Amino acid sequence: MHCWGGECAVFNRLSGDTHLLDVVSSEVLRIVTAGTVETEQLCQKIAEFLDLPNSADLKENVSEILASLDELGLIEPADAC
Amino acid sequence: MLISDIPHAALAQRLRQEGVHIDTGAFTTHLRIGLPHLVEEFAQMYAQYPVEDPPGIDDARLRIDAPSFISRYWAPSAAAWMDGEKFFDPVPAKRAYTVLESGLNWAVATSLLSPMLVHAAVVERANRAAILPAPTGSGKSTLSAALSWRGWRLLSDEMTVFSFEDGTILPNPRPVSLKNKAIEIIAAFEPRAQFSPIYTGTAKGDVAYMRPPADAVARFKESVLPGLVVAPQYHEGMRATVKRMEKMEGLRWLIDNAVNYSSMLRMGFDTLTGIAERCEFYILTYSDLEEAVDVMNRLLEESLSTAASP
Repeated sequence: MHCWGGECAVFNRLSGDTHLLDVVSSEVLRIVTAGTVETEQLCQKIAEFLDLPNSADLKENVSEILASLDELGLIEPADAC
Repeated sequence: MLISDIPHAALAQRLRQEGVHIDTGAFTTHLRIGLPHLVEEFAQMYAQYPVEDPPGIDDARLRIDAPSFISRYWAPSAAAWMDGEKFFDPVPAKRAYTVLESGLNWAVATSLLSPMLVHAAVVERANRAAILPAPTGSGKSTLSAALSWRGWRLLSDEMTVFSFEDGTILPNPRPVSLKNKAIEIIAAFEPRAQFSPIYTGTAKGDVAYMRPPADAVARFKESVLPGLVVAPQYHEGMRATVKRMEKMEGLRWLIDNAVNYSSMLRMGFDTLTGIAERCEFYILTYSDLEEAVDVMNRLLEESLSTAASP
């Protein structure tokens, strides 16, 4: 993973694809790959990162990012392990 | 042995029969030519290039000839065969040289042995390569031709070739393809520049090829580390201006211009992110070549001073 200005480029070993992630997706990936984290805890960290309230909208956006990263095979739900 | 060392009659016979293994730096192509006038033009443009003798492993096999016995006399035309397969529609024989150059480009782009390739011109100065990625028509060949006469070494006007081993850039300098107004612009810019005939009526308009300066060919086995990435954009009447590009945007440019990125897998990712780590990215908008050369020199100096500072 290579990051510049908060955006990251990731090589996906499963698909051989390169993913260029925006700032928020990069931060989500960085937090999740650092260790297993609860969704609520992750939302709180992202809210602090963006300096925004931990609102329902934010939770929805984070959930969408998690689903996308999961679909790409970059992360997986902890209960799937 | 150089092409110019081979007497013309012997060269014509070799090209017609067993072919020559022409070394252009990063690539060696087994070339056969069956059209006498094309032998003349090839001998002029590739006089300084070495022939690999005895031959090693060719990256491609290219033959340029009349598409049929009848067309040789009735409607003279030229066609190309790559590894025995005919490709490209035949063109009038007087434009055969354009088929040769397109064929050599195609040979590079489709070689199974090919290293990582980015559709970009590339030049070197002070042991730093400046990669110039841009779509066709953006002026990268014109700018690289101009730089090659102002202290920069031409590595390629078409394709940047990265070594498998260490990510350095392997030169593959060939005649520079210039189109329409760019032909007279470079002729006026540098009186020492030597050109092929002008081929009219191509899909891209008038096309001529500039012989690379002798130094570019003599040093084509000297690989170079990437130093900066500059995307040129020609805009008529505009003063030369330069704008820094975000690294991620620059990386996206490189990936978009990489010919075989998806088949390179991890190696491609490591090569291009390695460039993003060590290089700054710029967009250079220009119309006047001397101004553009000045900007390139300044960007190089800044890059060298940044690298030298603790």
